[in-house]
Parts: sequence; C-alpha cells; structure tokens
Amino acid sequence: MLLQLLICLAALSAASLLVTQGRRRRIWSIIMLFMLVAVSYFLLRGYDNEQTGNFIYQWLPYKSLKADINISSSKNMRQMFFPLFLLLSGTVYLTTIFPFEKHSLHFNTLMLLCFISLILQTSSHDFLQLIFSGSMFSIISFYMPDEITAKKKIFIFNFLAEMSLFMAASVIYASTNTLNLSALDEYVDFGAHKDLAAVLVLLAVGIKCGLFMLNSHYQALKDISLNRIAGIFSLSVPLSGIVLAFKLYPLLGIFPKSVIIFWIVITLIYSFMQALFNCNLKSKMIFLFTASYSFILLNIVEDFGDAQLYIPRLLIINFIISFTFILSYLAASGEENMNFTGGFFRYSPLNAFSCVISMLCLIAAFSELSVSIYSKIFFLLYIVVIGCFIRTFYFGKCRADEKVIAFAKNSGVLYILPLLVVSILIFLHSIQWKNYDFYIGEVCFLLILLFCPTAKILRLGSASLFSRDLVLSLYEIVIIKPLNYFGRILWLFFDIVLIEHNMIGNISDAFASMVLRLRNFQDFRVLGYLVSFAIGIVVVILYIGCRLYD
Amino acid sequence: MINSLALLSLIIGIPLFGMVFALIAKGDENFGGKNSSDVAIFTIITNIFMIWRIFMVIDEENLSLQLFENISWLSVPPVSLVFAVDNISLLMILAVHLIVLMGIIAVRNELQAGLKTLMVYTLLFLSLSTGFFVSANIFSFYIFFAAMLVPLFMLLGIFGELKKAERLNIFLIYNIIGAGLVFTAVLLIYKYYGNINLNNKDIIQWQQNKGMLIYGLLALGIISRIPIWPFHYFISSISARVHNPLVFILISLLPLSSIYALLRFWPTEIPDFISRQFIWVHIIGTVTILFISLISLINRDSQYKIFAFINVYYILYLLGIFIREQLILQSIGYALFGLLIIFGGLEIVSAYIYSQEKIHESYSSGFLCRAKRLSLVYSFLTFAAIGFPISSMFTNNFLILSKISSANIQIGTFLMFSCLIVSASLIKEMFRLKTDDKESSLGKDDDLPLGQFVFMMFVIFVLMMSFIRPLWFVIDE
Repeated sequence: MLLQLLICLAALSAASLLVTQGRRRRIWSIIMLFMLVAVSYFLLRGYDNEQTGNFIYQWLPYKSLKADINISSSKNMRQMFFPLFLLLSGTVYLTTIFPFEKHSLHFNTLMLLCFISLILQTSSHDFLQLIFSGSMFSIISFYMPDEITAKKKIFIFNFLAEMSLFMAASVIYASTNTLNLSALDEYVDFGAHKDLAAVLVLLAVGIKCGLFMLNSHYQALKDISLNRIAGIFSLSVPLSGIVLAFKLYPLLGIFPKSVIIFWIVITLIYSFMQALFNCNLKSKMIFLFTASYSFILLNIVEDFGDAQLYIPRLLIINFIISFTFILSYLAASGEENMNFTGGFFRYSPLNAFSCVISMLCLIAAFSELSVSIYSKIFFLLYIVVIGCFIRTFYFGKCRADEKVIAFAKNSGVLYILPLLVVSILIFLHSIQWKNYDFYIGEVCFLLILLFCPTAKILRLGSASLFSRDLVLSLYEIVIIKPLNYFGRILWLFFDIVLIEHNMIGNISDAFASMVLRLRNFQDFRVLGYLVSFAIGIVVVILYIGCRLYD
Repeated sequence: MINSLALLSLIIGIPLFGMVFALIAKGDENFGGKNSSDVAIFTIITNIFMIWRIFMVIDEENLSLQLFENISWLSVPPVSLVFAVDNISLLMILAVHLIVLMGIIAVRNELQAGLKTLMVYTLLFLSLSTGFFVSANIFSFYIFFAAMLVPLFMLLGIFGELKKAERLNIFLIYNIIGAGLVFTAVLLIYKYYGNINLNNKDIIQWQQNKGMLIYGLLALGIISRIPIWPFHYFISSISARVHNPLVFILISLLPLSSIYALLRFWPTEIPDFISRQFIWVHIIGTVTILFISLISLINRDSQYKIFAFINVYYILYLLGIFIREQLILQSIGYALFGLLIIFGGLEIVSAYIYSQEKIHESYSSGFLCRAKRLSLVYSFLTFAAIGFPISSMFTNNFLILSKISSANIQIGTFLMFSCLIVSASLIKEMFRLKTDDKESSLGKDDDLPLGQFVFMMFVIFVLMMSFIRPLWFVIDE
C-alpha cells in the first residue's frame, strides 16, 4: 500500500514539475488537490482492508555494508498516514487559495515530496535510508521558504542536524558493523562511544524539533508567507525530527530522562512566552507550533500512551489554528505587527466569529488528548495563547492604521467554511460531555476573551527578549566569530608570514646564492679547477669507502 | 586475464593521436583553437567509449589487476612497460576524462588566444595520466608518474597567471624533488628485485635489501604531491590562483596521482613498529585538513574554497588508506570518482559565474537568483559536495569516516568537524550567489548556455546513478 502511495505521489510531483509554473498554477493546483482527495479515498479503503504490502529492494548487498530500501512499516506508523495525508491535502488546499502565494504549484509539489520523504523515513530499517530520507527533508526545506535569510538559516541548521546524524551513524556502525536500526539496543548496552553518538542524535532531533537554543532557524521563518509556515510545520522538517526520535529512541535513553525533560520544559516555557508576548503574528504562530513539537517529543521521551496516534491529531489541530492566524492576517491586509491591530471584530465580524467558534470546538479535542498532568498544562497554555491572540486582535483597543481599517473585510467562504466545518467535525468526534477538562478549557478561554489585559501584553512584547533572536547573537559571538578569527590568524601567520615571506623567500635566496657560488667554480681561475678537483677526489674516496664497508 | 586487443595501449594512444591532430588543426588563431578543441572533445568521447568497452570486458567482481599488456622497451637492461587495470583504475580514468571534457567545454567559448596550445597539452596530460592509471609495473609507473608533470608545468607557465615567478620555481623544485625520491626508490627496487609488477609488490621485504629505505622514499615522494601541512602552501599558492578552469582541474589532479599510487603500493604486511607510527600521519593530516578548511571559511575567493574542498577530501582518503582495510581501499576508489566529478562540475560552474561577473563588472551577488539553469546545477553540485546522499561520495565517506573513528575517535571527530567547516564555506559561497542584489546587471540572458546545461545535467545524472550503484553502466556480457 505504501509503495503504491509513494509511486502515486512521485508521479504527481513529477507531472507538476513538468507543467508550466506560470499563469495557470492555481488550476493545476486544484487538479492536484482533486487527485490527492482521490488517493486519500483509496488510502482509506486500503487502510480499512488492512492491505499491508511490503516492498524491499536490496540496495547494498555487501556483507559488511548491507542496506535495503524498505517501504514497509509498523501498524502504528501506518495508522499515522491517513490523517497525515488529509493534512497534506489541507496544506495543498491552503496554498492554492492563499492570495499572497505566487508559486502555489511549486510549493505544493514540495509538500508532496515531503510526504514521500516521510514515507521513506518512517519505513526505514537502517541508517542509510534514515539519513537519506532526512536529507531529502533538508534539501526540500531549502526550497520551501521564499525569503533568503529564512532559506539560509533553515538550510544551515538542517545541514548541521544531518551531519550530526551522519557522524552518529558512522560511530555506531564502527562499533556494531551493521547499519540495521535493530542493533541499537545492543549498541546501547555494549557499544563504544555511545555518549558521543547519543549527544549527536539529540542534537539532530533538537535542531529538527526546534528545542531551546536550537530553534533560530524557525524564528527566521517569520519573514516567509503564512501558508508556507503552516506547510513547514505540518509535514516537513519538524515532523522528521519526531520520526527520528522514534527511530533512535534507544539512544536518547542513554541520557538521564530528567535532563531531556528539563530541556523540553525550558523549550515549552520559552516558546509559550514568545507565543504570548511576541508582537509579530507569524512569530506567535511559529512559537506555538514549536511548543507543540516539543510537547510531542516530551510524550515520546516520557512514553505517555500511544504517541503515534497523538501526533497526527495535534498536527491537525495546529493546522486549524494556522487557519485562525491566516484569517486574522487577511483581515488586517497582511499586517503582522500586533501593535497595529485590535478591534477587528467591528470590521471582520465573520472572521472573529469563525475563530472563536473554531477554538471552542477544538477545546473538545484538547480535553480528549489531556491524559497526563503535562498535557493538561500544555493545552491550558495553548488555550491561553490563542485566547490572548484573538482577544488582542479582534476585541482589544483598535490601534490599526486607517488604511488597514479601510481595507479590512471578512475573508471569503473558501477560508471560513472549511474552518468551521472541520472544527465542528472535530468537536463531534472528540466531545466527551463528562470530561471536566473540556468545561475548564471553555471557561478559561471565555474568561481570557473577556478580561485579558492586552495593553500590558503588547508592552511586554516590545522588550528585546521578544523582539530579537538573542540565541543567534550568542552563537555569532561564541562560535562563528572565534572560528573566523582563528582561520584568519592561521592564514596570516603560517601561510603569509611564515611560508610566503620567509620560507619561499629564503629558499629562493638560498638557491640563488648556491647557483652563484657554483658558477664561481666554473670560471677559468686556478682556484676553481682546484676546488672542483678536490670535490671529485672526495666523492671517489667516499664511494670506495662505502664499497669497502659493504 | 591477458588482453589480446591491446585496449589499454589504445586508451593511452588515442589522446596522443588526438594531440597530433589538434596540433596540425588548420585555421587562424581563433578557428585553429576551435578546431583543436573539437578534436579534443571528439578524442575524449571516443576514449570514454573505449573505457566503457573495457569495463564490459573485465570482471568487476575481481579486485586484482586484469587485462595485462606487456610492451618490451629495452633488452639490455631488460626493461618493459606493463599495463593492467582494475575497477578503481578504470573509474579514475573515466572520472579524469569526464572532468577534462567538462573543462574543455567550459573554456572553448571563453578562451580564444592559446586555445590550441591548451588543447595540445591537455591531451598530452590525459594520455600520460591514463598511462599512469594503467601502469602495472615499477618502471611504467615511474615514467608516467614523472612525465605527468611536464605538461602541467607548461600549462602553469602559460596559463597560470602567476604574478610571482618564484612560486612556480618552488612548486617545480618541490615536485622534482618528490619525483627524484620516487626515482631513487624505483632504482633500489630494480636493483634488488628487478622490474616487478605492482601486484607482486609484497616481495619487497621491510627488513631486507633496504626495504625500509625503499618504502620511506616511496612514501615521501608520493605524499609530496598532497598538500600536507606545512607544504600545503606550495601547492595552494599555485593552484588556488589559477583562474583557467581546465588548468585548475588538471593541476588538482596531481594529489589524485598520489592517492592512487599509495593505493597501488600499499603493502599487505606492515611491521608493528611502523604501523604504530601511523598515528603521526593521522595527526598531521588532521591538522592540515583543519587548517585548510578554516582558511577556506575566511577566504572570499571561490577558487580557494573549491581547492580546499577537494584537498580536504584527498587528505581524508589518504588517512583512510592508512587504516589498511581492503574494503576501505575499494571505497576510496568509488568515493574519488564522485569527488572528482563534483569538483569538476563545481569548478566549471564557478568559473562561468566568475567570468560573467568579470564581463559585467558585477562582483556583488545574486547571480543565481536570475539564472535558473545555473542555480539548479550549482545548488545540486553544492549539495553533493557538502555530503548529502546524492553521489557515491556519501556512502563511501560514511565507511571511511566510520573506520577512522573506530581506530581513533578523536581523529574521526576532528575530521568530521573539518568536513563540516569546508562544507560551511561552500554553503556560504552558494548563499552569496543566491542573495539578490538589485544593482547587479547580471540577468537571465547570462544564464548557462543550453548545450552546457544539458551536459551538466548529464553529469548530475551520472553522479546520482553512482549513488545508487557505483558501476551502474556496466552490463555483464
């Protein structure tokens, strides 16, 4: 089943690469969307019939280096695919209708390729396929942002993650002599340099999931369009980090659990603070999603319940929340700074209504997923952030520019209807009337909508902690600049001063003076003849001496 | 396997014939150059077909030398030239042909004056380097090892654009000393063991007949062509300043001859007290790699970055050879194939960008934002160069680094770090070219010509196929 899906997606992406990226891109995108819906229908049928065809191709058949292309996965992993495929269709839909997206077909093709990478990564049984699929994510992520700084940062961070993984894999292979992931348990017990391997894997997972100190690349995404942010956080690099954490879970177990949990909790606190106080609408969304991925990672590390089923649900919720942000963004004609918004309820009442209703519905899904104290706190914070955002944007004091207000209007049915329909469907599917978490969440949300002090939040958001990427500045000072200085010192001292100025000059001078002296022997003076004769005699004596010695 | 068709002599001879035709090509300076470059392209394509044919004939599962050819040269003293090949040597020849072809295609439209001379020396170098890769006894090995230097010195002198003559002198003396050391070793081998075949190299005993001296001289002479610290500057000060892409490619093949010679000469048995000293080679090699990569990070010259990239990997493979495992030696061969093609491609594309920037006097950035074909090719080659799994370099580097790490984790970590830094310098360059500058006058019209783009796409195809299966083009008969 997975192989067929993979081939379908590959054919679809190849076809979309072939068609022109010009004026008819939206029509092609719509055709792509219909095809995806058709594929998801067949996927659902296959899913019901439990069709689980496996595919294995012997890639490297050597004894000491055996690796296969394996497209088969566990039942739990397979169960993730259908909701994730729906998410894929959703991102394609969003990209198709989003008015600020100029290259919708191009971005949709990248989303398809991401899904192919996801299939390969979840199916991987050895390190080579795992690294290969991870690298596919990294290469695709290079093309996803439409702004150069974001492109640069996301690519460099992902490259670092891939190199960490590569190094970890080579250390593990050196110890186990196999690429198979099933050897990890044995490696954790008896392997050499397992601490180094574990640190490298944690670094890779941390970068991809955007843990604290390693999420500057996601912060840089605030300069790209909203649909792209939603796409990247739905099915791209962060998700690959989660799959990586699943696959290399035994290695993460080398660390004391408390250390990783502490790191994740710090990330959650930082992300929620940023999501709450940051004045940039896109940054808010990015930090909220980063918090979600950290929370998923926390679930994996703590092994709460069935994390594989948890992931798609949370991702779908995130995607619906991204619709909330997009509605607000469109209502404010693309204004990102929250300091210049507020009071939009009067100008875009339908948008405000849809956002509130959608959030009220989603709280039912939150309450269903609240199985531990961690998740209860997480969802409560999530509700607070969204509540504050809706309150500031729609119900707070109007600080918007006159021009923005003049253009403010309700977004079209293409945005509002799907948001309401999907939210209500989720509500009907998840509602548990006897669950008290649901009522607590609803009350909390309504209280925030009514009483949240928006002015104070915006004032706090202007502090440099929330407006600058301090971590990146720290890297610049601690790592990048010293490396550059060190390189410059090496170059100047060894290459230029020592070798170019001294060695090359001295050797040249030495040769020149030697040639001059030798030339003196060859003139017609008696001394020259005598010296040449003496040298000849010495050579002959030395030769005879050597022969006699032998 | 005895070769009755003299296929190996033929692949050495074809570039020589081509050289003669290029030399007598008619026309004025401009058209003579064009004609000679056409002859060179035709010659190389013909030879590539011949190489492909040889791949069909040999048994690729067999790791030893095959298709022996014996050409008697002198009866007194008895000296003969023996040629033979295996997978690795054929892959090297193929890679060298491909990158030289890339170089010729790149320069034929750019360079007018001296194109004929360039083609003549290039074909001579190609013939001699092919001879070097197929040589199977000690004399033929030395002759081609030393003779390769002649066309290179000529090319450097004519097209090197070197401002300081003493740099070229030092480079020349340095290489001649290296060749002299190898020559002394060859004479000693001839004296004690005769004109031995390279597959019988293990008859040279370490502790008899000056075995230590022979191995020492060979090692020093061979390694002298690799830019090991502190001698790296003699090579970098020459190569990194050559702006003719073809000459730069040819000069960068010198260290390859060293790596290949070490692969060929590596003895099966090494006394413990010698192998214990290999740690020093690893330390010096690691320091060199770190050194070169750090300098490439701060150096703004794209040529130096490419120089650093290829030399970092050359030294990595040199250190891999010292791990002494058959699998690693095989991997180095396959990795070198990928490395050379990536290097050649990157150099060609960079040289094209450099020449366009020079024409438009626009050195800022952003060319790749407007030139889609160029952007595609450059990005792909950079991805391959920095170690993404899209070429044969990836799998083989994985093996080599894992074995080095298994022997010494500190060295392995430093090597990995150096590879990371050299990759960072390539990424930096790529983003310089991708950061749009509105004032730049470079535009769509300056994009890679269609013919060159198609050829580069073919090169990319070869690279990708080498990742899936290194010998994908071989069909067993």
